[in-house]
Amino acid sequence: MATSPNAPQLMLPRLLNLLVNPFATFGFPANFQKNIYTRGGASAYSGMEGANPVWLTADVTLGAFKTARGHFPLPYNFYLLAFLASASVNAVGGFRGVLYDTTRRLPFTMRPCTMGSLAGQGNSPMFAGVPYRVDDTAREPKIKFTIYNLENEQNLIELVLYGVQTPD
Amino acid sequence: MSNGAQQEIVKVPRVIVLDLSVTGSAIQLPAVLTVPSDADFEWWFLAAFRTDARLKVLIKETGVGSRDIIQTGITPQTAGFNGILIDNLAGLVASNGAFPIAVPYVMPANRTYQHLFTDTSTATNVVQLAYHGFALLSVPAGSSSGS
Repeated sequence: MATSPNAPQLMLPRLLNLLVNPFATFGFPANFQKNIYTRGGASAYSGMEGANPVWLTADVTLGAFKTARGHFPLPYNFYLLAFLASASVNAVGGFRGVLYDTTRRLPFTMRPCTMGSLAGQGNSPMFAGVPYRVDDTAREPKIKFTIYNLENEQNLIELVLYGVQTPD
Repeated sequence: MSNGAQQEIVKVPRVIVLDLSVTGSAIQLPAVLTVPSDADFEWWFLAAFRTDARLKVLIKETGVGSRDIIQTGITPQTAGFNGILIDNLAGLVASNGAFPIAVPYVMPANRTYQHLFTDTSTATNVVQLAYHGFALLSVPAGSSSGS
């Protein structure tokens, strides 16, 4: 019997029922958080050739249960790719942080996010699958942050935005 | 083949290594990484070894580029900014910890990159930064088996 062009696609529910998503094999299966380079050698962010890497680092020392607020002044043509974070004392989670895009007036974190859930470190970064271009039509593009020290002692806290800056 | 023979790029795997001992409590101890003169270098991964994690680093591209690769990310910066903690920068390849810089960056031949290390451990810190990537070797077209 000929198949009607309006027939439901039986393949779709079969894919959804698979225990392992077949599309998850793109990139390097060893570490999904670092799936940047695709097999064959290209970057997942093709089309951004010529961009230079930038680490924007907020480096603060906070007393017990203290809060710090500030903002990352962003370079132009900046694309956000990943967060990194660390704390010298991490007995009960280190710190909680909130990040906020002032130009679009949108928070990146809906609630304060514990350091370990927000970001990894250089050996365990989590990359955004889609690079985020902060709207730099604003005069001074920036991302605001609030950091709350969860520890009962002084804490050296670092919160880092990693991204690339494309040429004009 | 004419004298105006076409060239092609062969990507030769290359690791450029910055290797030094940072004295305890050093503040912005300089070290320079120079890209070898035989070819431009396409940077893909950064790996780092250190004997103590209490180490910060600033990296600056000199010459025409003259840009800060590590930038202060806080305004106002109330204390002296000595860079990013090395563990936030990269880990070891042996631990699957090399940092992929996501968009490969071409570092021109002969260009120098200023590194400034600050130690807060008070003990000597043995450090290696390994830039993994490819030398972009220019060869006459057809002279290589592949690129």
